[in-house]
Amino acid sequence: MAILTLAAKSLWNRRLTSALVVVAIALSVTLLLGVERLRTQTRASFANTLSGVDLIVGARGSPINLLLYSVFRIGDPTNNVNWSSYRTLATDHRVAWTVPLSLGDSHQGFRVLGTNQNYFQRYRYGRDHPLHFAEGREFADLFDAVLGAEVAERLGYRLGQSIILAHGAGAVSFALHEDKPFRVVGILARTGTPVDQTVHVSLAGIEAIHADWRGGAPLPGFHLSAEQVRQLDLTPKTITAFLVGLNTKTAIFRVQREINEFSAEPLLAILPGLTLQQLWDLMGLAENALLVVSGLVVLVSFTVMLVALLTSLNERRREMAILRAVGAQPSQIFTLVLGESVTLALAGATCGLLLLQGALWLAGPVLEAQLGLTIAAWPPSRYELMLLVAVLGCGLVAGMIPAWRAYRYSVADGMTLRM
Amino acid sequence: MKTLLSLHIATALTVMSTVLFAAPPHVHGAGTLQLVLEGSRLNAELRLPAINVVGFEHAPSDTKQEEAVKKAVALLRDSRQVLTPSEKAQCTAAPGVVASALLLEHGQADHDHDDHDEAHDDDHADFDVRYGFDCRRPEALKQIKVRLFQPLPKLERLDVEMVTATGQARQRLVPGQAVITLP
Repeated sequence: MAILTLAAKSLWNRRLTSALVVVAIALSVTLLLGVERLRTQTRASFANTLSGVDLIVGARGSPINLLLYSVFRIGDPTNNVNWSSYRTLATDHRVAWTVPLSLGDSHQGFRVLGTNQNYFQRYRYGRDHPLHFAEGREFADLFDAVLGAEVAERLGYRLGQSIILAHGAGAVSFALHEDKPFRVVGILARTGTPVDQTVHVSLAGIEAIHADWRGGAPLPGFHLSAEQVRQLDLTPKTITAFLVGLNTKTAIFRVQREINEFSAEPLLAILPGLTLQQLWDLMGLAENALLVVSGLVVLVSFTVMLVALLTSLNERRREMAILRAVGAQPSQIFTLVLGESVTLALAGATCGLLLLQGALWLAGPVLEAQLGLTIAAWPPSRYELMLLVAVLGCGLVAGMIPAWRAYRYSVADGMTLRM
Repeated sequence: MKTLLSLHIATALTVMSTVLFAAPPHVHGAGTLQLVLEGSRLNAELRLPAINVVGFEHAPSDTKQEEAVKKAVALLRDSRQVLTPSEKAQCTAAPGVVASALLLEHGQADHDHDDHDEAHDDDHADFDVRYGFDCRRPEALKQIKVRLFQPLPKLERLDVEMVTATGQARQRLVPGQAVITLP
């Protein structure tokens, strides 16, 4: 024990070098754990976004893109699906329910989603959690809007407030639907999914604000007031995609095949769980590369520690000799130097972990707002703890080298040191 | 924007009407297996390129090839031999239902397969097999062993897609690693 106190004091004596070594180890540990944390949390966050949906149907294209755009609202917009195709498939006897999704407009950078009441009843996230209203109710009127939790919180919206939707997806849009404001009638409870960043309106509402528009701009000299537009037939002509729940899962692959061979227009049906896994398979390579690189950075940081300890050993031959003279065993010298490296590794790993928590605490809200990613900051997962133990193991092994040298010195040149 | 898009779709539709029917992928060396477990019922659909089962993809033209097709059908019909679910699940199986262009009378096969592309002469053919299992204890069904790689050495991989009450998953089987783990 006394040896370990001595080790700590000896490190304190060389505190600048020690601090730099700790910083190097801490940064590398932060990087290693950060990569791992982001990887697993991204996966969990994505997997928790949608549950209980058998198929997602959109226009033919890449399955991954359809999933990303329709559920996570990222990636490139997909082509649209004709309303008639949607109705045909929605009334198939094997289909239990559908939720139509229409994307394309935005409000202050938040996506506007046109859908119907099924969305609030059928949408499930995490382990089969339904959506809950924090305040208010579902949309009923043409110009009613339901906000996700993050939208309401960040823009400070209350029930009854009127909001203006913008055309397109930008945060700053010059094409506003300002003649037809929407009224906030409901605010959803937080889900930790992209739902939080979404403004929900009815499909008819989406149709209504575009009723007097052609080709992405208002028709000059032609204007329909909010009242006039109510008289129109507001059945949408197209939607972006729709979610499908089947009566029996047994039919799932057959329905998928039939939709993929749908004769009226080229459609694509995906199984969201399979497509997500396909995405992870693609990402796996990049993720592993990142993990290997961060592992190498850890090794580099321990090389730094080795350099520092080995250099200091030369300066400390006299110190070692004095220790020997006052009765220290060579094995105690070994423990002293090893104790120093373990202390450094332990301090580095702890600081690294704290640094990561701090960084996530700071960056968490940004990640959630920008990417819809919820990163749990605490506690570290078992795998992360295993990584930490591996880091400490590296420290121990690396520490053996200077410890062994010190041990050899203390035996070989003990008091015969010439100054 | 939306009308513009639908206009695009309309034109695209007329232009593409000949390629509307997407044929499922056909990759030599790679088979697919789709599994659905619902309640006590396990359904499986296996699709293998004929070239990896019998070594050719046309209707058998001599007795030797007819023999090969017969042997393949016998192999694929034997459900328990192809797919072995966990013992504890106590599954009983009906014989697999085998369908293939190779099993049709000569000429009929080409007709059946080529209806969307008349000019395509050397078309590919598959073996499609449907299996049904009834399991007394489906909750104990965690793994399914696939024993296709030994009798079909030219089969390099089997892409498995599965759907159960707990989720959807995919897995790639290769020789020596031929056990499906259900989600």
